Amino acid sequence: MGVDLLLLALLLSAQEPAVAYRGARVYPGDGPALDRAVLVVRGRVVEALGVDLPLPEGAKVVELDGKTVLPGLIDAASRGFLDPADRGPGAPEQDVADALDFFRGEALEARARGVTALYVMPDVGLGAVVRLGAKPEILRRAAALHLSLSRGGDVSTPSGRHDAYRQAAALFEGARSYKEAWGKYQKDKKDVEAKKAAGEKGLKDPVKPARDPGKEVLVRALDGELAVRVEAHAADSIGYALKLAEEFKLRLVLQGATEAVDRAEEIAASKAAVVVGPVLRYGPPTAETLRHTSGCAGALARAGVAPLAIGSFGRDAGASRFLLDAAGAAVAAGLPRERAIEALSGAAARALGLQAEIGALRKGRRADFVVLSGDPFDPRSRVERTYVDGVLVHGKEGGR
Amino acid sequence: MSLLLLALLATALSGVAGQEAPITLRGRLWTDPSKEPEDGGITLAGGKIRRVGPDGDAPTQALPKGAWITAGIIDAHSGLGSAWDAEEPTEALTPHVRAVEGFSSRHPDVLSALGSGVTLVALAPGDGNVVGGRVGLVHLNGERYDRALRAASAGLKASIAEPALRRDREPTSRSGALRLLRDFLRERPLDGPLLVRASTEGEIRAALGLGRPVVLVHAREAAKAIDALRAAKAVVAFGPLTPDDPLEILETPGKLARAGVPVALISDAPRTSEAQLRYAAILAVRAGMSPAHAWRALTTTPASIYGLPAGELKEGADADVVVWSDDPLSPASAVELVVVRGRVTYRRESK
Repeated sequence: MGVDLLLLALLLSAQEPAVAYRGARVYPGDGPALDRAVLVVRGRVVEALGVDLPLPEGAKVVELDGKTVLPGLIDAASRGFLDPADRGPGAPEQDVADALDFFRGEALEARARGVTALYVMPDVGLGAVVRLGAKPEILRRAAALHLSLSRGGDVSTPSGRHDAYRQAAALFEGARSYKEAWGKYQKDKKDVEAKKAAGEKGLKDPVKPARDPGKEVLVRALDGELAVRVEAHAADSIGYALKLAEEFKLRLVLQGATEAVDRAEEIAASKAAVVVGPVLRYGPPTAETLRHTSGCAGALARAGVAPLAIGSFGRDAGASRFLLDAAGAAVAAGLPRERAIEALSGAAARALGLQAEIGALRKGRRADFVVLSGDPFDPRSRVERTYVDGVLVHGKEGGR
Repeated sequence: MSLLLLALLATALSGVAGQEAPITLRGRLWTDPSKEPEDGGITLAGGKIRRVGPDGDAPTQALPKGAWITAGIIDAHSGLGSAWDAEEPTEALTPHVRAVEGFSSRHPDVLSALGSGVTLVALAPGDGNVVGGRVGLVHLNGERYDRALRAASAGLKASIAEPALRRDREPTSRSGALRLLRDFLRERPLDGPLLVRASTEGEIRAALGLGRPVVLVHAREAAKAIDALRAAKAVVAFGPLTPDDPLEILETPGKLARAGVPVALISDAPRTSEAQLRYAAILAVRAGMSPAHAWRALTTTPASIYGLPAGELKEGADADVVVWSDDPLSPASAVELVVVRGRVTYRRESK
């Protein structure tokens, strides 16, 4: 039965007509741009990308001479679909997916500017990835666990920052003991059962530890199942994030990192993924952002940090509309152009752990892409069309 | 930090302000924002633009190929380097306060603004007083206050908006604020522009009703009062503009410019900063403002508010000039070189 269904699905997809988008300059999202490339899409997925590709039989051809094609842009740090007022203290097990309000309209404006996926981040709790298809939908719940070393508490002083780090470390220490307690309980229980089975009498069952949903989430992070995202801007906050990850062997995704210039080598050595932003600083400087520079993305790229993503860090999905401009500001401050595009596509997908599905225009990935009238950073360029799963969700086929 | 070092180095190398040797910059000169830039040369001497033409007549500075040369950006309303220190909110009328006296030339935001393309900043008192005090002008030349100062008093700042209304002193209402402001203005002639912080449509219309030429600061709801703004020949100093703003706000500068209302885009630092004032224009262009209108909103309109011979590449204007790697309204364009009053104050390090 399962095999039959699979065959049927294969047959159906083979029957779906291929569409070849031809002639544009295509940024694949994980490498250098291809000029006059052919992008073949069949159904919901990319079938091929290359220069001088033979067109599949019966393929519909869409001519894109002079245009630029980018992978659907991914905002790796967004607050889209959240109520801006809804910023509670949060708990590790709190899932941001439960707070999403798809009736908020800003996301549609973001889609009209080429954004096809948002990573929605809580201050503390579990983040979610939303795709902006014909209707917004959750692509991945619990994509990462968020901790903050920059928000909440008093982080304006070195000792305040140390306290924030100690609190985070105490959480993981607690989770470690919890894991050990459960491990011991399960082992003891097994032993008792074995002895009972062997006929031993008068045995006491081991005491079952209390369940703690918050600690269970932290244990998943300790086990490497969940990536841990830590927002840190000031250089010493970044240091604490790296220290925390090293101590507890966490899969760290560093977020913010706007003062990373002096710590770029250390971050690269830690192998942490980084989501940089906001590239431009809005609002008065705080202790965390006093030395903010737009040059941090360039510095991280030169130090070899990968994956290196850029997020909008907006108040809502509205800021995602200007994601390309934020990446442009990073280019002006020293980030190579291709790396800037990757920071919004292939590298962003890797930072989210979704590189097998989205982020690059490669065989088997979802056909999320954007057609621009010209160069991505030219102020006269417009997003003409946005496709999600091969379906046009913004603009008109065959023109503006 | 390396930016600072470079800027200081440039200062040391080029000697005393006003005595620099003439220099010529060659590249794509953007003399008319409504047209494409044209290849040419511009010669700077004695702190002024001496010549604009197909070539120059002084030693040429090496510039990257394809570089754009423009006038420096002017920020018409800013709290740069003072972080709210230019305000005495316990009294409603503080005309004697000078915003420039809260300015610190070594504030981190001042240092990061040196390579932003902004060359002149109007420092304004905050919005918390009905009459806040004197607006002053400083050059962003990386020098200390006394050598950065252009004018300690170049205009007067007033506010009839929310922040000026308080529970613990008069005025507590908008009508009270207008009464105080009218009384104050009746006694004094003004020697510069009157800047009034007004945000809502009601505040804007009330400020226009003062019967004086005004520059409206902030002016979030200006699009709702375009008729009145035109009739009063008012100037709008719009901002700050951020990516979080709703579409109707982002569209406002473009709407004003198309309706013939002069509009300047301001940083309103520290709400945003000089370092990214150019991105406010880019946001406005993305929301439909023409690049020519957007560029004038950063240069000629703010210059005209203070009656400055600046903001354009023309003979006799101040030699405040910026060299860009590309179109300054492209987000990816970088500042290559900044010249303030004929002196190189910033040069981009190669990466």
